[in-house]
Amino acid sequence: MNLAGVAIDDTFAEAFGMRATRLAITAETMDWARIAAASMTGFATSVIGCGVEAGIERELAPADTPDGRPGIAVLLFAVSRDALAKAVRDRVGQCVLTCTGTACYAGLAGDAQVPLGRALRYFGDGYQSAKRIGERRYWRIPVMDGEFVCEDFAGVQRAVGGGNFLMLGRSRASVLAAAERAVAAMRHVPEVIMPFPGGLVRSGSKVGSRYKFLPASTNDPFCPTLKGAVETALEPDVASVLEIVIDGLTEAAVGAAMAAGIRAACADAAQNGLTRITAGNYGGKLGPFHFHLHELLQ
Amino acid sequence: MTRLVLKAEPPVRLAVDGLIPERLAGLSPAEIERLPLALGNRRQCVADWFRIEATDDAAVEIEGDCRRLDKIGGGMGGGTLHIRGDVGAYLGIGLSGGTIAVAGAAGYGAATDMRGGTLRISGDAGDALGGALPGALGGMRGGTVLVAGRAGAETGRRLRRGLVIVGGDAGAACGAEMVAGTIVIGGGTGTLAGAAMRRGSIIALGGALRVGATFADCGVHDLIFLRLLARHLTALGLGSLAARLGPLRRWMGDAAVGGTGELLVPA
Repeated sequence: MNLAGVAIDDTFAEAFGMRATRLAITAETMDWARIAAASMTGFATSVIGCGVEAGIERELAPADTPDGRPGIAVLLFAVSRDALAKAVRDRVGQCVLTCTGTACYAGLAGDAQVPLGRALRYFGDGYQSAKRIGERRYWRIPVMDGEFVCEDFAGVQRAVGGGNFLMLGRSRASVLAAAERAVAAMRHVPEVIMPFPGGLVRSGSKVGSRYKFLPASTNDPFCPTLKGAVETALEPDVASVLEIVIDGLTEAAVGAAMAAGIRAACADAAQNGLTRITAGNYGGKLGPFHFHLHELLQ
Repeated sequence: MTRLVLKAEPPVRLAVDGLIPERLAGLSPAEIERLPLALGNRRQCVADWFRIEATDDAAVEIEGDCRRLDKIGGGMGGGTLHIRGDVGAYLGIGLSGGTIAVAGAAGYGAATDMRGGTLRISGDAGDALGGALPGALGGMRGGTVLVAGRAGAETGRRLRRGLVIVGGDAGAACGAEMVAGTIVIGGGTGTLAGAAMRRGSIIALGGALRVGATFADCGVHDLIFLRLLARHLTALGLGSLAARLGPLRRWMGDAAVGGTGELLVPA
């Protein structure tokens, strides 16, 4: 398959089941909501090293938030409900509770729950209070600029983590430009995040390493500076590879984001030097979700 | 809709807590007419006091001068009950689900021991709205009560959970001995508001008469939870009341019982 002059490999991305939650963070201004969201989704690129994968899903208009203030929706993904509960407690406690003017609400119902305000309420030292409004229950925790309002629980649902595709091109600049277009397009797709910095990964990994203590190491077949020395997966003219990893609330959302990203990356391919799109998998033996590139683009 | 038209005003109190949608559903007019009623200490039946007009709708409507009808909607768990006219004591006692709507005023003890559902009163409510059963430690523990007019003394006494909204004034001892929950008063409250309250919120938008000495003035604040409440009130059709939930003065108490509740009044 060829898309605007870019070769699309007949392969698939292999993704895994995860547990996810969505939180809505509001503040006095969109800037402060974004600051809180960026802080709480920092150092959350991979469950391997961070315990959780998190990112900003979208901005929320005042009409779409519980308290009528501007907000940010963030998504968090972990390998289990317990891991997600720990990440939610720690990150909301350290990055949202601490950020001026914020409040934090559950952003999805889910089929399970993790404690949110319930896990943080004791910071109120006895002055915290619960407030049920309609069908939802909140905690009011007194802080120095007023009160931190936080919903009692956050819903958790099954989700998909590890959707991916790789962009190969003739120069670092050309691949970066294509990748930036892809991420910009994917940010319009609901229910997904691209958890790595700027949505991009340059350090794609393979399972295992020559060092016993390291479970994963650099994906040498895709490292252009090694292509003459290892069993490379790259053509001679490829000088740069970037990957986009996608976590989503549903398989359909991940597929939609991948398709949007690949199409955007390939736009104006004749000018940008992008040569090939491929995807990472483990032979289909590890993850239950397989995103075949050709099927996504049909 | 099952329509029950009161034939005449009873000479003494008539308890009608059995006339609720789940009890009447599926019954023919003749079967409804044979249901027992207690007139004072005398055993009578529905046909003695009501004319029945039934259709296949699950909703129930009671029409007439119901001021001597007590426990209307008592123990109701679902469905809809409309009453055209004033009602007697203990309207919606033990209500756990569904909606009761009164086009008129309610007497003593409406929403006593209420656990869920919605109770709407278009006129005034008597004393002990949303209160506790005699001897019970906890009062209303769920649901929403909306009174368009005024409410009497001891509104929301021993309230544990739920939302009580009064459009007009409330009498003395509003929210006394409250354990939790929320009371919104569009007008003012009488004396002893929140006396011996432990937690919960009393929002008196028309002010509170002589705030108790065991309440601490914590200043004027624009509380975020009031925005959540405002949205909820707007959804209940109370947009004008919601618009008044701005910065308010927070009195915390009642310190006499180690309480951390709050009385919110205009700045």
